[in-house]
This record gives sequence, structure tokens and C-alpha cells, in this order.
Amino acid sequence: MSDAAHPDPGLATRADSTATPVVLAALDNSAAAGPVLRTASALAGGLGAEVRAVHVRGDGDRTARSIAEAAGVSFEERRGGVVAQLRAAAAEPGVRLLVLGARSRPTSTRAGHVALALAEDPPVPLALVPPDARVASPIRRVLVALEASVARREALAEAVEVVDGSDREVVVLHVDDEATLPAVSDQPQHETAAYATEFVARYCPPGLSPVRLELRVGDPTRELLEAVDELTVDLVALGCPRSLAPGRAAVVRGVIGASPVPVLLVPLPLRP
Amino acid sequence: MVDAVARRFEAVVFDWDGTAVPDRRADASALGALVEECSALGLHLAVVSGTHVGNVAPQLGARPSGPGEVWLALNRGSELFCLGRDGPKLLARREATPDEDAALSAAAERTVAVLAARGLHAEIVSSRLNRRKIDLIPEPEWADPPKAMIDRLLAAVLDRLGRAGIGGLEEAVALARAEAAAAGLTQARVTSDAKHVEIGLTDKSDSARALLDRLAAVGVGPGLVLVVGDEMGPLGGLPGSDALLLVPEADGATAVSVGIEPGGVPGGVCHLGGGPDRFRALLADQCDRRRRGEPPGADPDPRWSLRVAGVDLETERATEARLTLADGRVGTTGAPLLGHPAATGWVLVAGVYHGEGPDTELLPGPLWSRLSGPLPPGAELRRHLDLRSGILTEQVRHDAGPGGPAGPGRIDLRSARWSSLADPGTGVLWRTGPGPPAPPGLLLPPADGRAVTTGRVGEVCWMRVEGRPAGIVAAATEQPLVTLESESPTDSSSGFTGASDDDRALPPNASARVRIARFVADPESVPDVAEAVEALHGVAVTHRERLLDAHRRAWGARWAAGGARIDGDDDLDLGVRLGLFHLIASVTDRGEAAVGARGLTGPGYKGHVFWDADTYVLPYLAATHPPAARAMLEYRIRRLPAARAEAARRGLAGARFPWESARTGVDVTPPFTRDRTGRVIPIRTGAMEEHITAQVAWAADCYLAWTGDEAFAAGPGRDLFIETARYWASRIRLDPQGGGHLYGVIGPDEYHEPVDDNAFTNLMARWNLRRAAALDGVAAAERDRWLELADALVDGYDPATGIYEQFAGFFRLEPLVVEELVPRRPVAADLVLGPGRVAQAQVVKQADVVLAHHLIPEETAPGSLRPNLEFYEPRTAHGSSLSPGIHAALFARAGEAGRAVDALRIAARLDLDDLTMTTAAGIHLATAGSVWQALAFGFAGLRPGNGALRLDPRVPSDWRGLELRVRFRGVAVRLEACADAATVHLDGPVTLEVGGTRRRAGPGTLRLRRREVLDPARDPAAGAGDPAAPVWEVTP
Repeated sequence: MSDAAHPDPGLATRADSTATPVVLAALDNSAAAGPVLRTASALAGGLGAEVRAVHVRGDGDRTARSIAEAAGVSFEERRGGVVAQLRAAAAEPGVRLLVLGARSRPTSTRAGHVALALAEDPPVPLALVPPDARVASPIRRVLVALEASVARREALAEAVEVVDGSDREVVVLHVDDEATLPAVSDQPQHETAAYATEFVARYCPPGLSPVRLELRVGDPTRELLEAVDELTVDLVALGCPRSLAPGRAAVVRGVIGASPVPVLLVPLPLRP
Repeated sequence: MVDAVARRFEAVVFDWDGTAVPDRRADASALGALVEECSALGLHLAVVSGTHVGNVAPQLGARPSGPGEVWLALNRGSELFCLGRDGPKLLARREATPDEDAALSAAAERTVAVLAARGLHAEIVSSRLNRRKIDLIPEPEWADPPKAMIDRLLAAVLDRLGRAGIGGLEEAVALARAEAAAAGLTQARVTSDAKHVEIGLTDKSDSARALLDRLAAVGVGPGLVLVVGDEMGPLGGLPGSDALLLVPEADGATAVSVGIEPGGVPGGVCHLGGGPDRFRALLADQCDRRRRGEPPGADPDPRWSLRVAGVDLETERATEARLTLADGRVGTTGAPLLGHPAATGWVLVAGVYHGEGPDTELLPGPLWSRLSGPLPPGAELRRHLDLRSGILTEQVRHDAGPGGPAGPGRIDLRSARWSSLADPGTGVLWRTGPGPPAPPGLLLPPADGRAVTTGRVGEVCWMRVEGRPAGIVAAATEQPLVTLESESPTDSSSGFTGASDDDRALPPNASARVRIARFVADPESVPDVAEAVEALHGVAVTHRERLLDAHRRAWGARWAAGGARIDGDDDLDLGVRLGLFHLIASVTDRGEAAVGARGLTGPGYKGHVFWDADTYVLPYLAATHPPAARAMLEYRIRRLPAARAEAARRGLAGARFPWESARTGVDVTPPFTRDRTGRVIPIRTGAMEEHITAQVAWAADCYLAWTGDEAFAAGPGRDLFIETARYWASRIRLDPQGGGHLYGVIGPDEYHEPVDDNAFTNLMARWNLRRAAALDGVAAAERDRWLELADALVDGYDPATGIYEQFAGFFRLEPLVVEELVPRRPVAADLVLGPGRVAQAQVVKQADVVLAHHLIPEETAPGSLRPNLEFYEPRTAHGSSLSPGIHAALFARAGEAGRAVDALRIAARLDLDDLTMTTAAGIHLATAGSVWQALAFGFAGLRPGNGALRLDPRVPSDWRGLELRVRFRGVAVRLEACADAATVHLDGPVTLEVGGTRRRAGPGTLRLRRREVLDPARDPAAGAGDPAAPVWEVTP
């Protein structure tokens, strides 16, 4: 769902479907640059897209430029406010995805301010890459975190477009907490399957077939991060609300801050 | 045709004189022919008149052949006839006693005397059955005025009354009523038609009630009834005589007047005028609609309706489960006629499985009720399930401009479909209006997309689904309905419904079509296509109206035998009714009935049979439709060899029934699974949840208690009791002190596994042993052994507290009281707190100890219900759908009406509100059964035992009433109860137990009242269980 203040970022790119799609890798001059570029390349392969590196000059550009040159991708340098410049670059025709660092240092457990700012009003889906990310190439297994919401299903359909592919396995993860757990559960050997079948039918984005559904109960952030390790996931996709102010979007903030693998954020519609 | 009557009705109830005929001398031959045609086309008709059969039947001159019934409700509510090929046949007559007859005469004489004293000469002009008629204007000029003169007649009468100082007809009637009361007739029915005052024991309202009962028995509710009179409106300040037809039970019927109605008509009545000519036009229109192929509409009564508009992405599949049509053999979920991405649609056949071991699942069948193509975006879709008749109507409207190969064009479909309860395995789809065609081959592959084979034999299409080892073949045909000048409903020349080869027929009305599908299935092999085609031919020769009528009657009979109604809580009432609907539909009454946890309403639980069937589903059927209960027991009986083999495999005797059962009777419980938290967990219920063996015996005993089926008791029932007792006898371990133990079991509370000496299991085993020991012909040594073991079995009961320890060591667990820990219950406590934590705590999944109080109260310590309920209920998470209904029953018995209703509401609304988010996988049949048990055993206090039916209602004071219908030892019992009064209607003799006293009663009506027990020590009726509880007694 979109409105005048928050145009659907997907629409802008989909409208220009004749151009070669582009995955934009935002390289800062830090240890995150390499993983960002590798992630961009891995995702671009599935989209049939071209990778372009963009750097907003700050203190220097040699790391960023060298990494781009070594990978053989084009390098564009911009000047100005980082967020504004990246937003403008991502809004250009053909850009399907923007990849940038989740945070600058491996020891940091909080998302970087640039990542957070762009995540609040992304021009296109964002992939946020930890500086110490294990980047699989090709990306084989993607974990899509799903809430029990028909509205969010439509939004995450876009994530499916980005990550789906014949050589990729998409695993859908749903975490219930005490408030969302159905009140009654009879025989687990049948109940879980019945619940899972219905959950997929209700909430999984169309185009995901067959679906492997993983169910968890507990704190959503913790369960999601544990699932990343347990299931040996290469990429996490989750919906991102429009506001990431402190106290809100705890799951997104927590996952961005702690995920060992890249995280694809898909903008969620505004709640009616 | 006025909107109110511009639709198809299933019954017309009408007044005679002035409505159907101008007077009693008029030539009614045309009407008689019309009546015969209506009956042949399936329309039920009922004449209501104050006169007698000698006046009506010859004048009408009809000899209807059915399927529509023609009733004559005559003598002003005192007689009911059915009219057939051989003339009228008396069905019921109210006979006045000599005292009543004398009182009627005295009342009339006194009334005439009182009127004379006021200066009005009146005469008693007839002494008909159960009434006396007084002429208020016995003057030659007004000897026999036609109806058309009613306003002049009224004026003359009022003038005459006025000159005598009598204030109109109201006062005249009041005078007569007073004199009737003085003569001893306090419930007299006093009416006036302006010329006369009649004092009677019955009136047209009695006719109306009798007819509505008859219509309900043939599956027609008031919403499908047209009531026609000519005196609906007030006459001289009194309600018109035909207004008496509009009893509260007729709420929802369409009422019209064809009379002059000088005083207007009451609200809710449509004034058409036009007299008998108009009435004949109404009947002719009903015939036309049927000849044109108009499908039946849905009864709008909200108490009997599930209505759904559109398709909701989130809830569609749960909706489809609720809208399932089933006939005990084949179930078809309620997916729309046109495709939709959110819709699935299943066809399941009872007991027909595919696969092996834990992977055994119900084999899905071909979809028979679909049309080609998708539901266009923006199309208006309405589905309406009529619970009374098991008919799903669907309307689809869409106007996208000119159609053609590329688009749907205009769609204006009206349809009705059903799965015939009269002829299980038969589906009928009847539709009319422009819309997409049927799919090529009429049938579509099953919902899971498995491979099928298809073919055609003449006009019959077939589809075969092959499983391992089972198979399903569906054969279907679809024909347009031909509009004939005089369609013969019994014409079978073409072999197909409603169609004819007659070259002289009018062009076919191609927009009305009827599709019939017939299923043939076999759990052990793939049926031959020829068998299905032949079976279809056997059905298709029957006229569609006869198929409809037979199906409606079958449903009418089931509700007449086993309906329930809560008056005063519509939400609860609907939840109850929906559950009963699916219980009736999911269980066949022929052969064996494999009743899976979700019945025929969805694929959930793979159709595996659990203790749900024996403990929760069977009792309703035993009490209302014993053949279905017997079929459920047959399922177990046929798997007794497998149960014996399992016991032997374990080195034990007798028979051990499996936790999960399917085709063969071998346990199909999977050994492990992943739970909702993602953990792989072992499933131990197959190995250890053994109380099911006693449940099977309990189910047999329940069936016998309600039916007294001696052949079953002496035959296979005996085998069940004996073999299950032998199992327990071999399973019990004695300790050195002689105590008997059952080690390593799982009780109904599956949060704790395994445990020793689960109280419920031990109590059930004890009951099982004693039940078998009571059989005749058991060897003395074996019987004595059983009784010894039964006595030896420990049960965890502490007389000091009155509480049973749920299992050995339960009281040493962490004393968590889950009611205080969570914001709401039910709650899946194992998921919220973690399985390890609940296993170490006193958190109980569902009714366990207290379930014994519900199922075998005679085996529990007297007075122990309340302490166990008070201890265990707060510790019960109700994390199982089986729990709330049982607690509702127990709270009702304990006199805690509020908590009982709260628990009942959870159970009754479980699938309506989709509390588990798995209703899409099918309706929770066991929960539905538990709801009925709560009503029957809990609130109504109906309990069979020792050849008698005990009544001890505990109806909440904020319910206006509870009605329950059961069959006890072949006798129809209808209980109507409120908090402190009850009426029991019996259609035969039974032994009842009321207030501790057994009595033989029936046929007839018994009235009960409740009284308090002031001194339990001296009151012989005071119950042993709760001496202070109020008791019931029969009123004189």
C-alpha cells in the first residue's frame, strides 16, 4: 500500500522494466565494503542484474575504489549527505536493490545510522550486510520472516521476487509469542501440520511454492537469529515498518544489529 | 407477483373457506387439480379450517401422490389428516374427556344465558369436536353470509350487541371466556368470526403448531413456508381467525392475506387481496417455478444459517470447512463454484485411506460441484448453508459486459447443492441463470492435484482416483431442465432427471441444469467404473424434486430425533447447532463408520480415528440415531483381531486398541514430530496412552444404555467388554501389598508422560473390569479375578480431601496454578511455559481426573466432584479442544451455571471463531460432541442407566429455555426445561427417574418442577452426591 508521502519504492523501479536491472552496492571506506560488494554480486546473479558500486566521499575512497576495481564493477563517487546521495542513487531508473553495510565495525551491535535512516523510507528494498558477514555465493538458502498478516504478505511478495530462484531454497519462518499462539493445540503430530498448512495458505506470498515453513515460539528476534544459525541461512528477508525510532521495530533493529548474514529489508505498507 | 411471494416456497399453509374457496359449496375441482400438481412437484400443502373432513375433502376432491405432502388440519385445531391417493387418513385427534365435553356444553349454555340476561338472543348452533359454536345473530337474513359481506355482517353484529349493552365482539368473547373458566375450562380457546363465538379446547394455533412440526420433520423450516388466509386482520377489535396461524414458532414464515380485510392487516402480513382466485394464482406460480427449474432457496432463519459473502483471503478455507456438505459417506467442503486462489475444496470418503503406517491419510476424491473458470474480480458471491436441510445455496453475480471466449460476460447464477443424507454417496448440483459452463468432463481432480484417470460412457463422465490400496470412482451427469406444459415428475423415459425425449416438448430452458454425481469407493481396492456408472443411473432416473424431498426428509428426521436449542443465547445456540450438523453429517449409519478427528469436513489429522470418536462423538449418536453409533462400534469390532494381535505382541492378553487407527486397526501414531517451536519431539501416545482401550468398552456400554440392543449386548458387544477386560487384567501389576498398578501410561493430560497410576486410566480400567464381570456366562474364576483386580487397583483417592491424585507423584510437582499465571485460558501451556516446565508442574492439559466424574460418575467417590473440580480446574490449561465442553458439563452438575456457560461458549464457538487456526483442516468433531454432552449430561441432567432415563436439569436462569431431543430405548423424548420447570414429551412408554424416584411414563407429557431441599437428612429425594442440590419432582 502506498500514499503520496510514501510512494511504493517498488513501483518506481518496476515501471522501468526495459532497462537492465541494477543492484547498487553502497561502499563506504570500511571493512564492510567487501562483504557489501560480495552480497550485491550474489543477489544480482539471481536477478540477472548488473552491479554498480557507489561511494559517497567522506574521509577517503581508496578502500572502496580498490574493492570495486578488484571486483570489476563500475564505481561512482558522489559528494554530499550520505543518506540523501544514496537515496538519490537508488531512485535512479533500473535500480532494484540497494546493498549497504549494516554497521561499520564487527564489534558494534547496533545498526549504523545510515542503514537506519535509509530503512525508514527506502527507495528500493535494502540489503544490510554486517561487516563480518558470511556471504554465500551463490545464495542458496533464504529465510523469510513472516507475520500472520495478509497485508504483509503482499509486501513480502516483493522480497520473493528478489530472492527467489530455481537454485535457491526459501524457508519461511514464523514466530509466535504468547499473544499470537492459538489457544488450543491438540495432538502435535497433526496439529503442527494443520497449522502450518493454513499459515502458508493465509500468509505466504504467492509465488513461493513449495514452501518450507519453520515455526518457533518465543521472542521473535532471538528465535530468528537462532534459526539463522540452526538452518545455515545465507540471507534473511523481513518486512520493515516505516518507523525505526527507538522503541519501535524492535525485531528489525535487533536483527540488523546481530545477524551474521545479510538482511534484506522490504518496506511494509502503512497500517490502515 | 409481489416481492414477498415472488420466490419458491417449500410449503403453503392456507385457510379454506374464503381463502382457497369462496364458500363450502363452490366448485373446487380446478383447485383440486392444482393441489395434485403441487404435490407432484414437491410442494407441501396444508389446509387449515374450522370445519370437518367431511366438508373439505370431498369439495377439494384431490388425490395427491407426493412427494409433497398434503395435510388437512381441521376441526379448529383438533384433527390432522394427511391426504393421499386413497383419500384422507387421520394422523392425530385431540379427544375431549367426558368432563371436558360436559364443561364445553356448560360453558356454551352459560354464555347464552348471560347474553340473554343482557338482552341478546343467541343460540348454540353446533356441538362439534372439542368446541361449541354460539350464533350471535341467529336471523334468517344472516343465515349463511358469504365472505364478501363480512363488513356488513360485522356492522350488523356490532349493532345487535350494542343494543344489548354489550361493548362489541371483544366483550362478547370476554364473557364467553369467563363462563368457560367458571365451567372449569381455564385454558379455553375462545374465538369469533363476527357471526359466532366459539368456545373450544383447540384453535387454529394448534393446527399451526402441529403443521410446523410436521414440516420440520420433512426438513422445511418456517422461513420456507407461505401462510395464506383471508382473515388476518382484526375483526371487531379481535384478531382475525387466520392470525392465529401466526404462532411464535412460525417466526420467519411469509404471511399474506387474499381477503378483503376491512380492518387492515397486522404488521408483517402482506395484503394481496383477490380472494380464492388470487390464492390459486399463488399456487400456480409455485408450480411454474418448479417446472422452470428454479432451485430451492435457503431458509433465512438465522438460527439455522451460516451465511458468507465473498471470499476472504485469510479465512476462506475455514469457511469451506464450516460449509461442508456430507452424508456420512462422502463430504464436500464448501468451496465456491468458480475457482479462487484462496479456495481449495476437498471431497473425502469415510474410511477410504491411502498409504501405510503413520502416513496413512484419507484419499481425496474428485471435485463434483465446480464450474469452469475463475470467480471474476469484483463478482458478488453469497453462500448460505441451511443447517436444517443440509443444502448449500450459492449466488454469483457479475456483469463485465459482453462475454465470449475471452471473458466471463454476465453471470447471474443461483444454485443449490447437497450431499444426499437419504442416499449417501450422491451429490446434486442444481443451478440456473447465465454463467460459466460445467468443466469438460464435469469432474475435476482432487484438491491435492494427484493423477486421475477419466472417461465417458454415453452422457456419463467418470473420474477414478487410485490409492494404495483404496480407490474412488465418481460418475456424473448433467442435464438441462426441459420446460414442459405438463412436466411429469415421474417421467423416466430418458433415464435422466427432469428431462424427456418427447419431441413435442417446448425448447429446453438451457439456463437451468441439474448435475448428479455418484461416488463409489472401496478401502481395499479400486472400484470398477461400471459400478459407479450403474449407481449413477439408478439415481438419475429420479426426479430432482424427489431427490430434494428425500434429502430434506432425512435431515428433518435427524433433527426431530436429535435437535437441541438454547433459547436466550443466539450465539451459543448457533454454535451448538453447527456442531450437531457436522456430527450428523460425518457419521454413516450403515456398515462401519471410521470417524476421524475432523470427520468429512477436512483432511486434518489424516482421518485417523482417536478416542475422540468413542468418547466424544458416539454418545450423541447413541442417544439420537443409534444405527450411526452402532456403525462406529462396528469399526472397532472389525478391528478386534488387530487389537488382540497388538496385545499379544506385547505379551498381554485380550485386546489393546490403538491410539491412532485407520484402515487396518494397526496403530498409525507417528513416533516423532516437530512441534510448534520447531523441536523434534517423540510421540509416545501410541505406545502409552492406553485408556483408549477402556474408552472403546465405554462406548459400547453407552450405546447399550441408550438403546438396550440385546443382540449387540449378547454378541459383539460382549466380545468388546471381555477382551478389553482381559487386557487390563493382564496389564495390571500387583505390588507386594496387593495394590494394583498400571505403570508407564499417559492419561488424557498429555503434558505428563509417562506416569504411573494415572487416576483416570485406573478408574476406567476398574470400570471396564467390573462391567465385564457383570456379564452373564463369564467363567467364575475369570470373573472373580477381574473383580479382585478392580478392587486392588489404586486410584489415588484421599478420603480426607476428597481429591484423586492425578498420578503417582502429582502432588509433589511444582504447585503452579495456571489460571493465575496466564492472562487467558485456554492456553497451550506447553508452548508458553515450555514442555519441560509443565512436565515438572501441576499444569494439566485437559480434563483428566474430572473426566472420570463425567464418564463414570458411579465409579468415583460420592461427593468428590466438587473438590476435584475446585482443585484441578484452576490447574487446567484447556490446551486441548476436548476440555472446555467436559468442564461445562461438570460445572453444570456442580451448580456453577456461570462457569458452565463460559466453558460451553468456548467449546461451541471453537470452530465458528477458529480458535485453533486449524478449522481449515476440518471441524473439531469431538468438541462438537462434548458440547452436546455438556447440554445433555450437564445442563439437562439426562443420564441413562439401569434401564431408566434420569432427569435432573440444571438450566441457567438467564436462559429462557433448553430444548433437547433424544431417543431412549426407541422412544422419542423431548425435554423442554428452564431453571425451575420442565416438560417431558414422550411418544412411547419409558422408565424415568426423577428426584430419585423411578416411574413408568408415556406416551404423553410429564411436567416437572424444581424445589429446594430444606432438610437433606429427611428428604428422600436429596442426592447422595450433593444433598443440598435442588431436586425435581413430577407435578400432578
